[in-house]
Amino acid sequence: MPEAVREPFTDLAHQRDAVALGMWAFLGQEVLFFGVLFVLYTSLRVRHPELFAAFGPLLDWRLATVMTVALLLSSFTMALAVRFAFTRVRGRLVFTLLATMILGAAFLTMKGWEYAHHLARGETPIVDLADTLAAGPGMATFFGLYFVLTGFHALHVLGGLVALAWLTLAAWRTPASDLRGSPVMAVGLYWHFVDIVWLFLFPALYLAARPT
Amino acid sequence: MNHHHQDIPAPTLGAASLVLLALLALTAATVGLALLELSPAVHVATAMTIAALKAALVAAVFMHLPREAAATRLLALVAAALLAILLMMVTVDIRHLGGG
Repeated sequence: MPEAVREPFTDLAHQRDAVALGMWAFLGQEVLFFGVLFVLYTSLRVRHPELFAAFGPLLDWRLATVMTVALLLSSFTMALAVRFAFTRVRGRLVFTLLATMILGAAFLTMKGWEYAHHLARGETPIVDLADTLAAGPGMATFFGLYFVLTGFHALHVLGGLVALAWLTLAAWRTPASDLRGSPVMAVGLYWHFVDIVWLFLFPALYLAARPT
Repeated sequence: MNHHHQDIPAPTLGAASLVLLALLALTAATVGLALLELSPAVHVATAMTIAALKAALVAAVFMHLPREAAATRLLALVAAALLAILLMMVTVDIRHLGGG
């Protein structure tokens, strides 16, 4: 049985094109959202380069490199999942979706471990209002930027994991002949976009100071 | 239209593997360049150029963008171009015009 064509479309190709256009329009808005955060980053980086030189080395670039590799691998398995959804190879579809989820979860686990260490060392955005000597931008400013940028990115990864879990469950319950490609493609586009955001965050934050 | 004759909006295993290898190599290049002693401006420029290259690879192959409809390609291109203009103007404003 072919994938169902729904109103108002007359054929599958148009229906798929519309899903792609809708998803890219949504991603365009996401560019706006992360764009504002990158403006905050640019402003701070240009006005206070000393913050990045002083506090950049407190970020673990080795761990971040491993996290980058995990996300790149997850984009690879996601791209294959889209292919298997359209060619209706159910076993491989479920396998690649699960692999993507495991890699995404591994990324979030490393992120959480990193956050726990920063918080334990007092590297937080929290400012001591009683400390008048600490006026002006300092460690709290740098870590404020770090937590806002990586925090919103991590929330996006979490959202992607929820969508992937839903896709995996649907693929598991659906006979191979009834598999639909478009939902997997839509989630795939979102997942790749979140990967792209990290590709900029990684050098912007972790490699801002010369790694030691 | 026969479903099996439709263009599949995802790379083949071979193409995806090649792109993955390129992305991993570019990641290694970013880290390697960061370790070199260069001026901060060169560091930022090379790191962001490599990141943009990686993003383009992901969009072109994993996200199938070049083979999408013209309206979809235009939408993605405009979003990327406007973001680049915004960041450039913010940088010029803060650096040279005393804004911020």
